[in-house]
Amino acid sequence: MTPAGDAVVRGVVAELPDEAALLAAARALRASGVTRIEAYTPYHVEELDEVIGAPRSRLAVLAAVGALGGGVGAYALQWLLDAYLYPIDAGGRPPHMVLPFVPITIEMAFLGAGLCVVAGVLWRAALVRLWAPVFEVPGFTSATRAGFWLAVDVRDPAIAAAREVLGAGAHDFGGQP
Amino acid sequence: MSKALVDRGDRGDRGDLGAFRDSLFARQKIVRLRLWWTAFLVAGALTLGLAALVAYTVATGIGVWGNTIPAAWAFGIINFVFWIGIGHAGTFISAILYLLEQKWRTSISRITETMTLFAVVQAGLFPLLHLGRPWFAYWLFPYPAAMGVYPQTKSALPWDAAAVTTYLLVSLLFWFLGLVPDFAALRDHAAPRWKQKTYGLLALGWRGSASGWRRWKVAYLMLAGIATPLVVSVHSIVASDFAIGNVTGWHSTLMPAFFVAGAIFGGFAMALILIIPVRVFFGLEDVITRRHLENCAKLMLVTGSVVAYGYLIEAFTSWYAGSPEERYLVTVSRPETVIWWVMIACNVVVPQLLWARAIRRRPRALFAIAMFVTVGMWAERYVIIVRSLERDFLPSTWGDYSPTWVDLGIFAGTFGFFAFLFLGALRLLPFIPVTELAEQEARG
Repeated sequence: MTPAGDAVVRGVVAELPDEAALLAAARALRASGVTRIEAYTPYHVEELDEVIGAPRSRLAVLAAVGALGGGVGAYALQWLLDAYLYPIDAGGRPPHMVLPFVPITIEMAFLGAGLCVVAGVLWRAALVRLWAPVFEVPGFTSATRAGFWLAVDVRDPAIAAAREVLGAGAHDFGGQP
Repeated sequence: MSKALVDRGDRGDRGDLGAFRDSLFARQKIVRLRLWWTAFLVAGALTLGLAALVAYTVATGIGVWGNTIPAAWAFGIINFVFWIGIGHAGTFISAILYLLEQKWRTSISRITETMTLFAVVQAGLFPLLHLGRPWFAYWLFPYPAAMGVYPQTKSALPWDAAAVTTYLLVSLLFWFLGLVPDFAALRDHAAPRWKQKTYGLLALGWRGSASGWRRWKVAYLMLAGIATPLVVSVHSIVASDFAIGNVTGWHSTLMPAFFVAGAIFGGFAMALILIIPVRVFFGLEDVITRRHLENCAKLMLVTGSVVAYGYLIEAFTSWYAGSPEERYLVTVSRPETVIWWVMIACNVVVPQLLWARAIRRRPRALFAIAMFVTVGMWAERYVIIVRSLERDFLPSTWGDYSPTWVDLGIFAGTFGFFAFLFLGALRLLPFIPVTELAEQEARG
């Protein structure tokens, strides 16, 4: 599993005029052997994930775990309460009856999946840290408006080549490792 | 898919993403503050009225409502089903239409999601108060009780508690996750410091990184997938409250499908009631275009037709079953029958106007039709609940129901509370999903 949060915490970052320039620069970085790349964009640029070789998200696994946990837990709880701890005759149904247990089992499976997905995205995308070093770069706020930024980790072996691609306008951020 | 997600008008070239976004954010600012304040204060006053009536009900006892045997379920459940039904359109638009890649949904998705959340809040009030002793509401949920008495999930009511709670939570998370990138934009570009701080907290440190976007997109898609069956299941379960009860007119497998269609029908009506004034008030006619209104109208027509079919089948099965009690319900004319005719007029007759394209594209006409449908859907719930309860199997248990002023006041108050929350959201939240629209705009 890749680490949570952004791929680059300290490094060098530069702003590019648009999506096409961003993709071109990212390809150039890859061509010169750079591997630890991160981008900051105002919207999701799908092609970029391929270019920088981002792994597939595995939130679906978490969702499945949540759904299973929610469903099994809910069924078990219903059995425990209504068939074991407090078996009363409700509507002439036997204490343990599958059919009336189904609705809550399904609902809790969905709830478990939903909660796990949200917890998962908060954790994996590190959405609980309100500040990141890259915020200190002058003009970085354009990343949430119309700016396309490309960053390379300072520890990348090909950092010198990266600086060349990103040009003179690039900023260092996050200090040295 | 037509390109006209947003009419371009004279607002610059396609390339000018920044200007496009700035303009969308700027146009969500309330310019006609006096009008907004007037509406907000009226809604606030109604909310206070609601709070007073709730306090009166709780302090005096549930007897101040009109409910009595045999109609032990009346306004409390009518209004619950009415409001929860309205809550369906939001998630339908934001989740189901998202999965179906209906890109036109974007402009109106946030408003309708917000509507959903606030409608579910109103809905939640009623079962809670109907308990009579709402401070024991936690008895509905399993907790390690020293009494050794536990909720019986073989009855339909705990299903409701589970379904509504799940729906509210998942809708809330879905809505919030969608807001995060917009909050980040406001954090970075809103003017006063307190706003930057508030939106900064809500944005959760969103950076717009490729790693973040990738995970956000997957999470959003998956929540849409999770919310989709919930849209269908919540009202199916609400319908089960009736369908599994052995009461004339309720005990039918028709109920879940009929309820879900009715909920989406009524939800789109309320969505139109909100969207039509909002687009005029904020001058967003080029963002929420006539095409959006027309599409909502088409969906109303479809779901309305399913509802009409439901009425037909309901009457048919009552007749075909041959049970005298069922036949009595649909054939004998009583004062209640007036409400049945209101329901038919509002839900079946009036929506036929939507077949005309000219009417579907006329906001005022749509607004009026949506009003009729909202009245009609409330009448439908009244008919389903009260008509059946008043005339049970044994004539000796028959009785008549009428609401008290407290019932009427609480119902009116929920409209005030709903408007209060909605007007507040218009003031404080980016109710147009700017980031998502900008992405669609950039892709052309």
